[in-house]
Amino acid sequence: MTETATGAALLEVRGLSKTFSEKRGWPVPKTVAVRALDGVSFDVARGEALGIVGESGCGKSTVARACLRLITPDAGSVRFDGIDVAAASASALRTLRQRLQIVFQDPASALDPRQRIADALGESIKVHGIARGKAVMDSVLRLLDEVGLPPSAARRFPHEFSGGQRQRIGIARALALGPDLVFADEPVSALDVSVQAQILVLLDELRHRRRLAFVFISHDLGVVRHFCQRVAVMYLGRVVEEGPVPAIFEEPLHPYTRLLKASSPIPDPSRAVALDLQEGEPPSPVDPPSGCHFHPRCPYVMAQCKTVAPALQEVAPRRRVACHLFPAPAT
Amino acid sequence: MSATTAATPTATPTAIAAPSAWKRATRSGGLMIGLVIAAVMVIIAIAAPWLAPYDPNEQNVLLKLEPPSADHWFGTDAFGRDVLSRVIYGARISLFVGAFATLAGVLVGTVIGVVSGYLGGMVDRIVTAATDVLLSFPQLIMGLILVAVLGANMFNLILAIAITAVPAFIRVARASTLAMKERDFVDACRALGFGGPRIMFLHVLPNIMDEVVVMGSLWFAAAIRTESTLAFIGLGVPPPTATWGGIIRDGFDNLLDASWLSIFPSLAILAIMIALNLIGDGLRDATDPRAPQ
Amino acid sequence: MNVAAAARAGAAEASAAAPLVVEGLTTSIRIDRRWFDAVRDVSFAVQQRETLALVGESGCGKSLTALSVMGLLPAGVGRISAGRITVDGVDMTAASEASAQAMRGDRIGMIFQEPMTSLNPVLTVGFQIAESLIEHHGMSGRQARQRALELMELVRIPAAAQRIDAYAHQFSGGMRQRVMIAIALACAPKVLIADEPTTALDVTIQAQVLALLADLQQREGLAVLLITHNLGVVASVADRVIVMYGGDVVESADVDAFFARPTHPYSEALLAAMPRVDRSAAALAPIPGQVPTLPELPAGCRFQSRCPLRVDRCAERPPLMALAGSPGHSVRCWVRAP
Repeated sequence: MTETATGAALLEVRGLSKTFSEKRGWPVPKTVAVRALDGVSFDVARGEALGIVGESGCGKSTVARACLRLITPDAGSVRFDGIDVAAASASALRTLRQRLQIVFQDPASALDPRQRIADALGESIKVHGIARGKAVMDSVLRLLDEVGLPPSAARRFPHEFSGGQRQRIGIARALALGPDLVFADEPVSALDVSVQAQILVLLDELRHRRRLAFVFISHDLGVVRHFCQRVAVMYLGRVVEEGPVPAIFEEPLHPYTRLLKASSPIPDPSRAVALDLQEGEPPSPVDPPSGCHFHPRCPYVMAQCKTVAPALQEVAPRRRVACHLFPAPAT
Repeated sequence: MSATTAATPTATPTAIAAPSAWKRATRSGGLMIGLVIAAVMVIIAIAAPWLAPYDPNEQNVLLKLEPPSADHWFGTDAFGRDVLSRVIYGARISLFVGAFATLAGVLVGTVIGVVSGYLGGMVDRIVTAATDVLLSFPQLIMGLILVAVLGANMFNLILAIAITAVPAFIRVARASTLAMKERDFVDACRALGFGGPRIMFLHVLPNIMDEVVVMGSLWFAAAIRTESTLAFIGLGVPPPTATWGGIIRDGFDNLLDASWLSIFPSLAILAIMIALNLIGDGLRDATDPRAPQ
Repeated sequence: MNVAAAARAGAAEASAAAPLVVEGLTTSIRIDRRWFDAVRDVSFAVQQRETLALVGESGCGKSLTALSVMGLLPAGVGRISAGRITVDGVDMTAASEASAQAMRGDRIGMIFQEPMTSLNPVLTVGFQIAESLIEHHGMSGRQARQRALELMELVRIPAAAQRIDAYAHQFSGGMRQRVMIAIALACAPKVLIADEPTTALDVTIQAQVLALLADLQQREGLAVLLITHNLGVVASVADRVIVMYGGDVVESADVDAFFARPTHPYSEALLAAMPRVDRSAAALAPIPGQVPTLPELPAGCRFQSRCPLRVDRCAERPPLMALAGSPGHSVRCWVRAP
């Protein structure tokens, strides 16, 4: 359990679950239940970056929205600095929103195209009453400087900027209220490699300078390895492995984590991606396999994997895995 | 000062800025023609007291049903009134009724549509059901019923046409709002602690105005058509006020031998409707983000 | 040694002219009313059973190069200003539109990044695979359907017989991409252009699709032009790599030589800016600034505005020079390859 100086984690998520009802199919649409989140638990300490990795359908984007109460979870709890986010009143939630922020993947979609940057950044400051009048513009200029944009940017509209610059603006907006924790939902996935590096360096600086905690959601293991201290691997709505970044990447335990790592291309021809991997489609969250969700693709599958879902167990100090290959150490 | 390697401090942020909407709009020939025609007609309507050669209601028994001549460019009607002056003054009615009815429809319909689309749930279901019911009535029949029940005067006419416009704008605004909700910036506003009203009216509404304006100009044309049709049936602004539909109605009995009574007001209706349609289409092309740039 | 090279080492080469030859290609784009060269003097050849990767970030001209080869530039906005493209011995640039159309799908196939928008949602996949067979090879409907079934099995779509009449939305992303590959290979083309074929796919599915492409390349003897921005993918499947920046070829080399010695300052910077899953967190070295927009690109060396090694001479465009001692490795830089 990760701890802050006061002994408790900054963000504590326990058993978060969410099922969506969707109408799918043609010609007659049927209502199907999509199990986006199934009992997700993790902690984030102050100033620490936790990575959440997984592929499409694993629920990682839903995690951010559920924690921020942009969608309502069906079950589970989210505690931020001891406060129960799900049960907070409207006004308590508003105050909470100053401390918990989010940066989105697509910078073009995340900004109001009709708002000048100065308004986009200053609006939240004014709405929360943090500053008034001229002080708002001062804050806006300080934010722009902090993310590496010139003051002239304040007068402009989002479409006048490149993708990387828009992402900086999105980050500035998230910082405007002085948060303690920022959810970053694939913040660099839509950017070119060279710009991606700029943004990662910026986020790292911000993490150190402002003691910001991050929940960094990504499908790119290289980026997560670089930026985060801890990582949680998700598959079809469940956390399958969690622990410190160096340990997990050096020696992944869960078969899915190993598959992810082996599939991630490395710019080194002598270590080409393992191309002799098994065939088969990934299951969809509409009808997940019984027991351990990964069993149809697992090279080490055993009988009990098909019927019993393995629990997330601590198998080494600060490392947890949900796999029958690694039963909890006998006490 | 931040130590990040970022855009060089002197470089002004640029991307390949697409030609602005205004530039695209002015390049569109259709839009410019429509604007010119509409502007001319509006000016004529406003300047009616100075432009009309005669008092539109002044009767002259001696000059009944005169064909177009140097004195009376559009001829005279059964009461000896100058048709040109009546057409000019008729423009005032049509444009006024059309504009206010459309405006009322836009305002009420857009607000309801945005709120309904944003809130979703039960509110949205009720509004959608009501809208579907209202839209199933042909606009003309609706207008007809309302005016027949309420009585034919300018206010009721505007009200009737506005009521037929409201469901159409609810639908447009709602659809656009639903599309906007998919974009991250709505979630971003919620994450920043903004309340529903602020998001709906300061963020969503300005972004859907493009579609609403396009619909508005097309509906303006439809409103004028409805007003003229109602006037033709006899349910418009009551005589002796000159209205285009009314002039046509008066000329109906003399359709063959005094055809100028039907032709000129019809041409006026045609002109304004073409103009508004050109404007609507031109605006749609200019604001369509997927148009080639 | 990476996969593709290892496989090719055993293959016998018929040394006839390369299936795809591009010489001095210059493609221009119209913005407002002016034409800008978005691709400048690009030359390369792709042999049978060889994979050439065109690598670069957005705006470098790699996708435009692919579209130029296919003759699919948007009319009125893009045009080939200079150069020659030869596919299977036929000069595509001089050919009429009718001849070019006959070549597309038949001798040269293309797969795109987003299979959902590239596949027709209202036609069955079987029909779409069979379409080019009917169009180019004059097969009957029944024959084409049979061949479509064989192709679906070739690209390893499970339960092909049941799914031949399914629609695009009934397949997952990886499966749709396989359908795209089947369509592209239907007429047994000599050349396959793959424009970011796996970028939209999950990383585990990406590995499967890349493996499939490598396997098909060997079996069918394809020349593959792979467009990507992912240097990891390049390292895994490509034989040769060309790095593009601002429409110029800045470096061209065998894959092993390239990764051992990335010579152009941009190539070097790009590799230093990539976080890697196999290395513990080291400081990333971002490239300062951003890619200039097309009208703003400098006339000489395209990279000069961001290059740490810039000298005055860079205002003049450097030629592509082979490195001393590595004839297959060329670089366009006054400082690194004088």
